[in-house]
Order: sequence, then C-alpha cells, then structure tokens
Amino acid sequence: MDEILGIFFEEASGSIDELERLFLGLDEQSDPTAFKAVFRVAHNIKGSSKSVGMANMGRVTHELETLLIRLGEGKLKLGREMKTVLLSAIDSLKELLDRAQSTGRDDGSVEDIISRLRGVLAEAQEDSLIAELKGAQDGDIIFIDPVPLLESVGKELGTSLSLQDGKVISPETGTHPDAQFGAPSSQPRRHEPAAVSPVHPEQVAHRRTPAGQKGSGETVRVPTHRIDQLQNHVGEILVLQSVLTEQLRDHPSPLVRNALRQMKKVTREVQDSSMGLRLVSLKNLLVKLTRAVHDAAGALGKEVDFITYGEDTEVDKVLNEGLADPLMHMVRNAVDHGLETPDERMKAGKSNRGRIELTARSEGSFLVVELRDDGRGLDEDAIIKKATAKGLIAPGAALAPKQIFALIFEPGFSTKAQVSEVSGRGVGMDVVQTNVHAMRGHIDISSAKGKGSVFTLTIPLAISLLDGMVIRLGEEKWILPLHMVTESFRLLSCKIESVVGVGKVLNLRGESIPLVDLGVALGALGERSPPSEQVVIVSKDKDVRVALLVDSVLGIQTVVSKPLTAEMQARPGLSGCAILGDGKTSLILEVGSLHKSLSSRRRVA
Amino acid sequence: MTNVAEDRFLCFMLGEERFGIPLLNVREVIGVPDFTRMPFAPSHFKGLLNLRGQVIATIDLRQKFGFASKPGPENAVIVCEVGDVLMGALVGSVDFVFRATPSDVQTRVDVEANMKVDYIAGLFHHKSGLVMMLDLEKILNLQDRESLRQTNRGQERATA
Repeated sequence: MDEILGIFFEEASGSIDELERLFLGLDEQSDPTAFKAVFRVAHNIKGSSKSVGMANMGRVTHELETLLIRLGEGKLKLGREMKTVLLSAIDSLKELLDRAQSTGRDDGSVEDIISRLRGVLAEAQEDSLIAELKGAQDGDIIFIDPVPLLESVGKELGTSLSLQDGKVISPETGTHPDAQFGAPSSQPRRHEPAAVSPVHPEQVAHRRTPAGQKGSGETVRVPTHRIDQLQNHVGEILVLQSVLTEQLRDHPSPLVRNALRQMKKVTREVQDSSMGLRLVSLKNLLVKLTRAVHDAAGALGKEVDFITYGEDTEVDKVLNEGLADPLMHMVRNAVDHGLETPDERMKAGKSNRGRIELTARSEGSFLVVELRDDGRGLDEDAIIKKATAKGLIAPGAALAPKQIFALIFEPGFSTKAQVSEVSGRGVGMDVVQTNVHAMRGHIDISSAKGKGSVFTLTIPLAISLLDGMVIRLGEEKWILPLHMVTESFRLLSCKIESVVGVGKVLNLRGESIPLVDLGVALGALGERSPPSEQVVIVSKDKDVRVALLVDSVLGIQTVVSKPLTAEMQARPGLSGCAILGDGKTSLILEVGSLHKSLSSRRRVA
Repeated sequence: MTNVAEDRFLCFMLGEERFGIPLLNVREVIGVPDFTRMPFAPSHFKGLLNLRGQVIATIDLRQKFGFASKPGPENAVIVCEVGDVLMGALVGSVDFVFRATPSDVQTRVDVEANMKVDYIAGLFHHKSGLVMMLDLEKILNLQDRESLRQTNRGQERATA
C-alpha cells in the first residue's frame, strides 16, 4: 500500500503541476479543446485521489470538473475572478497533497474552497443565464441547472434553499408552493459529466497511462541516491583514467597507447551519460515563475505579459532547485519595483501592459538566464544617493554604471520608499547574489532609466566537477578552486609589508592585500619549503581578496568535489574534498570563509 | 526473517582492553591507510580516508576513550555502518567474532573511571577475557547528526 501511495504522491504532484500550467494558459479566448484538456487532467486526479482514499482531493477536483465542463461547453465565461478561484483550488490541492505526505492524513478543510468554487460557478451561471435571457426570443426554451441557482438566490434571501422532489424547500417556511420545478424525469440533467462529449469519462479512465509511465517514451523510476553513486564512481574512473594516461603516455606498445586513447573517449561519454541522468527541464520552474508573476501582478494592480523562452533547456536537478529562490525573487522584483503602474506607463508613452521576458539557454558549459523588463530601469542617481546615505560609498565617488548597479546587492539596500510584501524587505538582492555565488555563478546587470533592465545570471552547468590548483603545504596537498585564483608570484619577488593590527600584507601594484601563511594557518604537518621556493597566490572569493603563501604549486587538476558531511568535523573555510590522482583525499579551500574564520580566530586568540 | 548475525559481535583490541561491536554494523576491516588531516579538528578525529572512491571520516578510538596508557601498534580500521553513515574506527587489532545474547551481557556496570561509561553498553564474559560492548552510535557521535550539523553551522555563523 505504501508503494501505491508513493506512486500516487509523485503522479498527483506532477498532474497538479500540469493542471496549473494549463490553467495559466487559459483565458477568455480559449477554445473548448483547451478546457477539455484541463478537464482530462482534473478527472485523472479525481480518479486516482479517490482510489487511494484521498476524499478531500476528490471533492475539490469534482467541483473543478463541473466548472471545466461548463467552460468547455462555452456556457460560461472565464473571468478574472473565476481564474483566481481556480488557481486557489490548485493551491488547496497542493496543500492537501503536502499535508497527506507529511502527516499521512487527509484532514484538510475543503469547505471553504468548495463553496468558493460553487459560488463562482453560480455567479457565472447567473451571468450567462442573464445574457441568454436578454438575447432570448419569445418561445425559446432555456435550460438551467437549478441547484447552484437556488443556492445563490437563497444566499441573497438570507436563507438556504434546496430542491427536493422537484419542490423548492427552505428550512423556515417549508415548501414554497409557487416555486416548483417539473418532475425530475422531465428535467434534462445537464450537469452530469456523461453528457459531455466527446470526452467520455469512461474513455478517459482507460486512456489513463499505467502507473510509473508518463506521456511520451518509457521511463524508469530511479532513486536519486543510486544516480549519485553512479556519478561518484564515474568521476573516480575519470580521475584514475587520467592518471593512467599520464603514466603510460610513452609506453612502448602501440596497443596500450591505443587502448588508452579509446578509454579516454569512452570515459568522457560515460560521464556525459551519467550526468545526463540527473537532468531535468526548466519547464516546471518556468511555470512556477509564471504563476508568481500572475499573482504579483494581480496583487499590485499591474498588467504584465510574461514570456519565457527555453523551457526545454535541461539542467542538473540540483541546479534547477538552486535557481528557484533567486529567480522567484528577481521576477517578483521585476513586477514590483521594475514595472510601472499602467497609468505611469501610459504617461510615459508605453503600452499599459508591462513586458517581462525570461530566457534560459546553455552557452558552452554555462547556463545563462536573462530576465528582461521594459519598466522604469534602475535610477543611477537614486542608487548613489541611497548608497551614500547608508555609508556604502564615499560622497562624490565616481563610479562606472556597472559598479553603481552592483550596489543594489549590498545587504539592506532598497530604493523603494515602501518595501512591499510582494518582494519583501530589502534583504532580497544580496541573498539572491549569495545564492547565485553558492552555485559558482554570477549576476550581471544592465539598465537604462525609463527603458528597463536586464539581469543576467551565468551559472556553470556541471556542479561537482571542479578545476583545482593543487598546492603543497608541508607534506600535505590541498586544493584551491581555480576560479578563485587571480595571479601568483614567487615569494621573493613580492613586496611584503607589515601593517599594525592586520599583520603582513602584500603590496600589489599599490594595493594592500592581507597575506596569510596557509601552512601555519592550517597547521600543516611536514617540512616547510624555504622562502626562496615559496609561492604567493593572489586569490579572490566574491569580494574578498587574500594573498596565500604556499610551499609550492603542484599543478592544475580537474577533480570531482565531494561534500563534507556532518561527521567529518569540517570547519568554515572548507568547501569539500576530492580524491587526487594518487589516491589521497584532499580538502578544497574556500577563501572567503577561510579568511573570515582565521581573522576571528586571531581576534579571539 | 531474522538476520542470523544479530547476536554476533566483533571483538577488537585497544591497548590491552577488549571491545565488542555488533557485527551487523561492521562493513569491512581494512589496514591502516593514509589519512587526510582535518584542520582544527578535535584530537580524537583521525581524518579522512579514501575507501575505493568514497571519502570516510575516521575516529581514533584510543584518543576518544582518553587512554593515557602505553599505546599498542594500531593495525586496523573498522569501517562501521550506522544507519546510512559510514565511519572508520582506528583500533589496535581485530581479533574474533563471538556470539552473545542479551541475557549474556551485563548492563549494570561499575567500571574503573579511566574511560567514559557512556560509551559502554554492557560487559560480556568471553572465555579469553572480559569484553566491553560499545554503543557505536554514542562513540561515533552519530546519535544526533542534526545537532552536529547545527554545531558546524553555528561555528560558521560565529566566525562570520
């Protein structure tokens, strides 16, 4: 039973996402087939929820079905309010699913959403009935569904009306002799799903794809930890293969050399395939973002066209998850701070609908995500003013536009007078940048006042492969991520000065960069090299620059970075570990946090 | 289906003392490899080792117990599996497997105060001598991984 539930949860989650995606694409102009497509998904969810005993989900989807049938028949118009209620229904389905998954119980309250759904159905039916009546000629016969009509009329009268044996009944006065409907048998029962054509519910049930398979192509459900294991091993094979190649490069036998060449090719392909196992498309994320824009625009009274490109772009699962928060925030920001109100836009000669474009594409070994809006753009003067007021820059400092825009990433920065609930307190952009940096990516901004802004995120696609500089400290080998290395010098050719309170600094073309003797700082064992051999590496991690004194640089190697788990007693300054070609495990340094922790250690000591 | 090995234990030596851990928790026993030192780690933390591509943390059990007595040579690392975590335990030697039922193990223990009583789950009288049964989770500090994670994160925050 657990397995069935597990499958249900996964499939239901996917179906609900699909439902949401389809909903967001519906509007007043949608033709009946669009509504029928949505009905099919809702019907699937209803069927499977009921079969696993999720009665509440079943009830909500049933109400959705009713609405969708009517919409599909063209009997009702999809207005803004109805769309909002429909989306709320989807939210409540998500909630019910979450709750069931975490508590194992189906005990959410659905009365509220059901009555809202019925309410919006009744209103729409009234509207369409009124429209029909208005356009009716003498002698026309109009069919109506009495139940929701009675409910809403009852509400107006402040009582509750119901239908029994063709008679209208209210609790206070009993039967209303004047309000009667024909005998049930003569009543065309138009609210039965069986009357909907051409989608017959039984047909829908059979067309339902068997558990474990989705739409096009066969798939296999694989637990992620198995894929992780596979990738781990493949990574190690890569490392070993590069060692073999290195050692046997000049082997006399051409057979050996040939085999090595082939092995190199095949290994790369195996690696690509195994990395490919964890790829997911950005589609779901883009749907979430579309929803967020829709909700934000509604809440802020702005008109927005949100266009996405690149939903078929595939990225590693981890990257997909890491992008969610930053993009969500940026997109809400664009609607809230970036776009002007319809009035402001008209005054500025723009169309009253704002336009936000999100493009995702892969460029070489990077994922590039571009968020473009045609709003008010970043106001350089306002930013400078705010930054000066907050003491972030010296008054009168001359900054290039790029530097000015970069100021919005400072913690606590927000130029909007009132920070809205939609995009949150001014903690936003700096957290976004932190998240992007955590994925080893970066954000670029370009903007024109009055015209709009473009935010570009560039993130490496391969998450665990790292180009590292292998350095020696004493008898120990350590790894410094190559992207943190800017330059290196022999120690003797460096200008080292002493600054009171800070310690040694490297004078690099007039700039003072703190110098850290890594071997001493990390307590490296083994004999240190004499100063004549030592090397200084200038490193940069986000905005922290440190000069690192090491014994020697052993080379550059691509390694598979593995996480440091809780029981490994890792302290700040270490971002992972990797196995080098010689089989030894080596720790990977993270310059920024290392420097911070060393400084505070010194303060304490 | 009950696992036949539930009542089997592995006996190993630290110095002159004998210790036992459930065989079910023993993944494998290997010779002493090269360890990668973890800076600023407590003294009982020996470091990281490479087990066929997997990186595993290792505890020096002698240090953990706080033995001051003369050390015997350390010849083996027991790769232990507790839940989904693999950890190495550096020990003197690995001797034999023995069988013990819960009734054989004496849980009320008055032991000399030269080691933490916490880690000892009980005593077993083997024909070759007294074996101290260890609580693996406690000695490998695995009973509360969430708090470990919090500790590490807390240290990060403190130094940030």
